[in-house]
Amino acid sequence: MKISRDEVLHIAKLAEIEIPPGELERVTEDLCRICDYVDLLNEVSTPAEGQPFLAGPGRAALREDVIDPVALAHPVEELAPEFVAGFFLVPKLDGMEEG
Amino acid sequence: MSRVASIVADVNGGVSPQTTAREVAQRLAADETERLNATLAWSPEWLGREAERVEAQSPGPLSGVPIAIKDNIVTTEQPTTCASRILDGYVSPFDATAVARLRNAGAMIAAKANLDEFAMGSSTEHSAYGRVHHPMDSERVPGGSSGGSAALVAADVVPVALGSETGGSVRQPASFCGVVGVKPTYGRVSRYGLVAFGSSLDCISIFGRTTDDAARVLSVLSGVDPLDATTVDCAPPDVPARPPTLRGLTIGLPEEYFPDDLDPGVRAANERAIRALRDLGAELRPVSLPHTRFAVPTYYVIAPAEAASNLARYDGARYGRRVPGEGGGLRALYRATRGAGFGPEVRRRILIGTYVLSAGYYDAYYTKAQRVRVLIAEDFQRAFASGVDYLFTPTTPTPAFKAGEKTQDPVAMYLADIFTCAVSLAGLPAMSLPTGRVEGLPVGGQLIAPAFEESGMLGVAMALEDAIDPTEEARP
Repeated sequence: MKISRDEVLHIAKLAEIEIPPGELERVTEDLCRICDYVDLLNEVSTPAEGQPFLAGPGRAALREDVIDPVALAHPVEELAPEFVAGFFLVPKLDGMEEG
Repeated sequence: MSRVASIVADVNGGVSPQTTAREVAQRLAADETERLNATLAWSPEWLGREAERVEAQSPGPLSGVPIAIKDNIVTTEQPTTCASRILDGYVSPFDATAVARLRNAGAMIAAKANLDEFAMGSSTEHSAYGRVHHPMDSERVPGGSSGGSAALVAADVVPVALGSETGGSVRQPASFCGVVGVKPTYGRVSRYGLVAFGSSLDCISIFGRTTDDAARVLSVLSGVDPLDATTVDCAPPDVPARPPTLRGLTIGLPEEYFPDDLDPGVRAANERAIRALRDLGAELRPVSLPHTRFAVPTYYVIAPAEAASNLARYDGARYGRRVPGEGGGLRALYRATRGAGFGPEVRRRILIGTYVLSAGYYDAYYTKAQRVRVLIAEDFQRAFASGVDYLFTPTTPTPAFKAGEKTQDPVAMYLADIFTCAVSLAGLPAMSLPTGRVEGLPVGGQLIAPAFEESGMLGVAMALEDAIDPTEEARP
């Protein structure tokens, strides 16, 4: 399995991660090595259909759909990099920026 | 008597928790502990306040017991970093359910323990705050990702500690450091407040000096939690009495866990433990878990896929570190924050997870891995249905390795979890306990049980603990 540098850059864009300068080659090599190893799964014969494995209870326990606020030890504005009048501030999204 | 039982008896007998808090503070401040680099946050003042709280409480099953908490389990009074720069300055506005239950039972939170960043690693070398050193050989790793918690228990700084498991992150460091590590059944202990990595795999787990110590903590942590919909409503496991014999029990030995290239010392220590199990009256039977060799590749598709989704929340918008991107737009902020905030191993796993979930590769990787996960779980079901009560294996293929030995090859590092991953994929309870030493380094043996059969498993471990000397050198 060979993943190209362009594919790695595309995946990084999907994951919203900047790859530090000078690390692209190493990251590409590592991803190729991991995918080559994971390709071992092709040796297993698996049914074409079937339910995925679920650990834990057969179905998640649902709660009543009521607002039951958890008491917070610290208000969210103490955690936020920028917070004004009940809103988290972030830089402007310039028009329909490409994803 | 276990360390935990002894501390509780002292406190109930009139010894002040302040005395224990001062002793723990002295151990945490000692040069030897400093050199381990096993803690990320602690202070004598916190410990003093914890002791005051315990003095004001009614007696509980863990009264006055100091406990270290892996720093991916949130606490309101100490920072939670996950050993990542991206959470610089973060202090949780709520306590994890596990932490709340420990405090209700009288335990004192002694320290937040170092780990591989976001619990991704097998050596605790991937911490933004520096690697943790093995307590017996500073050149070696303590295992990971819960290496800080393991090292603190092994160095006798605290009798018990919380870690977390996704693919073996408590059992593997327990084996490397010569302590007990217990992973409960998925759904036994609430994950509320455990920072999510792989949600279908994550389990808060326990280190103890002895099985009894870990069992007492497990009993307190267990039980349904309305804040975690995956917890199961069943009675907490008892702290079992040490059984005088194992007569009537059948223990399976999976042939895939004793390969020809198994480290000879690891083989020798665990063969001695197997003889001890037989001498205690257990019937031993070879079994096969034929999909074992596919567990690591399955894990390294499913866990990164879940991590890519879970770690999307770290974007510099609501908490943690913020790095303005070039050009100043929102997406530039996300990319710069995540690029600078995550270390290399976390970035690698997010990229792999994004890749296996992307259009064109989803079926080939993610769907395939989900189907193999079913086969791995069925291997265990068949073994237990055949009349085997528990399984016994080595916990790791080698003793603790040297720092830097595997950091250049991610796959070599991933294979350190080859004997622990399958259990995590199947959601089963398992534990590691010390079975011997090889050239002075600890070796662990692993017991695996059917779902929610922790009590029986802990009882077998207690019997084995009594029957072997884990400090004895194993000669191949």
